[in-house]
Amino acid sequence: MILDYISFEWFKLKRQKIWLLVLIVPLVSVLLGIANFFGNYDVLMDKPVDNPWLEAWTQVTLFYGILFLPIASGIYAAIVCRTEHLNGGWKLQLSLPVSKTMVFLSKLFVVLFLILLMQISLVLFYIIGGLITKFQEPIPWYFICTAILLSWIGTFSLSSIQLWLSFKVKSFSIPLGINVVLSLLVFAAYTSKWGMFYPWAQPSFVISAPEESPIDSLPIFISIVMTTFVITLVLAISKFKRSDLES
Amino acid sequence: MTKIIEATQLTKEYKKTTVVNQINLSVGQGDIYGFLGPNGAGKTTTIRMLLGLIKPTKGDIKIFGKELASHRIDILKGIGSLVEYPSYYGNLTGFENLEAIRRLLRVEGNNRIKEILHTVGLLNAKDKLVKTYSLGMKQRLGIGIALLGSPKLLILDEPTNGLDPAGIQEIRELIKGLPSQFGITVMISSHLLSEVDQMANKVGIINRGNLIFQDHIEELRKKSSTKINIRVNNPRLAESIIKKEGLDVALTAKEELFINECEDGKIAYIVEQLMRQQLSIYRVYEEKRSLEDIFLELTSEAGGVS
Repeated sequence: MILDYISFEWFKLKRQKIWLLVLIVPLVSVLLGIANFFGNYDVLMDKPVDNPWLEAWTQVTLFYGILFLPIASGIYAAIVCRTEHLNGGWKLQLSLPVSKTMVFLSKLFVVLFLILLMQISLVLFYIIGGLITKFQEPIPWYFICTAILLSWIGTFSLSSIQLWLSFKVKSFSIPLGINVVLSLLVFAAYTSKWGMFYPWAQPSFVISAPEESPIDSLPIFISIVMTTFVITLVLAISKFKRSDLES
Repeated sequence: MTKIIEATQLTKEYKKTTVVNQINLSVGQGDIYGFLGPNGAGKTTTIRMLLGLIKPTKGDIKIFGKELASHRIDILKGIGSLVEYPSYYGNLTGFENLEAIRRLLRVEGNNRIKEILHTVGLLNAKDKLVKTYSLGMKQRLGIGIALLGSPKLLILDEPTNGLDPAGIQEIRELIKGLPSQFGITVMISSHLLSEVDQMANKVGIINRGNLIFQDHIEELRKKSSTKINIRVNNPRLAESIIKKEGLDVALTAKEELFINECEDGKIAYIVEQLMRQQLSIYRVYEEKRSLEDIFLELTSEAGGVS
């Protein structure tokens, strides 16, 4: 049942050139991160135990985790709503015999899937970048996979909010602007003990190297993320179901 | 006759303005129901409520005998619709638009899509991106999408809006054939009576949110009975003379007299009476009002009251 909805959502993304974003955002992050790593090589690699894979990763995710990831997920949310906003897609879709909950969930699924693809392409570019620049140590696969997976889960609450926002606001640029501002607030979240509750900060908290992360306990963090996800999802869906469709 | 749509006391208010005011709609099985009214009268709001896109402030909607509020998905399975300007996915081709909707409706097979493309005459343009379609083609695609799920009820909101006369004719022929071909009930809204005149058997007229007429189109035609218009040099005197003869007479602002009686003998008699009083008779002529005149009169009358 949900598969029909997802296949419908996926099909509508044809010719939207989303793969550009899925590839370019990680590529830029990796280029910036590795350049930064070599620019500050002496500072970052001052101890003999320092692993270049971990140190460079910190530089890559500095840009990616805090800024690019939350902004890109907002763009994905805007894209899955854009086809609906443009030419009456909402009324077309919602006057069909469809469940509104499923409509929201399938759109969210597509957004999260696109984020996952972007996460995977980040890892691929990073490994390629590291191999080209000849990092000596073995690749810390376990750490990278956990970081990618956890930061993906960290985007769940964020994406539900962004999807709701993109449904409400017709324009493409307004949610994007709001998103950029809220992403910049992540820097403030790092210094607050409530930072973990801030959806925009959640992905960046678990993507950075262990010694940089402000997280003390992973299980607590995961339960917080899941709780905020359930809350935002339930709120977003119930608002989505009750909203009148004027245009 | 089985009722397909039954709306009672349907009302929609926004803040303080009432857009749709306690209307009672009734559409029977097999009807082609023309839903008429000037722009901004509340047609689209009503249709959006019938499709569950917006919630009524007050009132009840029953479609196929079921409450819309509690059976939305079930009811929508039997409805194909086109709301206001055409809805489509511009980044997809005509074929892909139907294919996307087909996945959601779980309609079987590619043949159904070919059939639809043939019905709405888009078979040759099926592989072009819909954003390159003309308005008429988009509108026909919209009707195609509405037909995809083989609906029992088709709700079309202004399907000929913005089309040229040839396009209007095309859409009209397409819609006219539907009930006989597929046995479906059609509700079609328009701001022009002439557009539904040739297809509708039942008409509802909405103005400023009020349903001011709902009946068979013949009933509306009866209102378009002929009148006799008389112009004389002293209309007031003439009015009193005709009244004395026991006839209904109306004096308009333009100093014209109207009587509803059209029998030859009576008219001759009246004219004779007027001449006896030394009145100069300028004109005596029959005025037949078109259906459009009635429609305009109905909508402007009600407009004046509120």
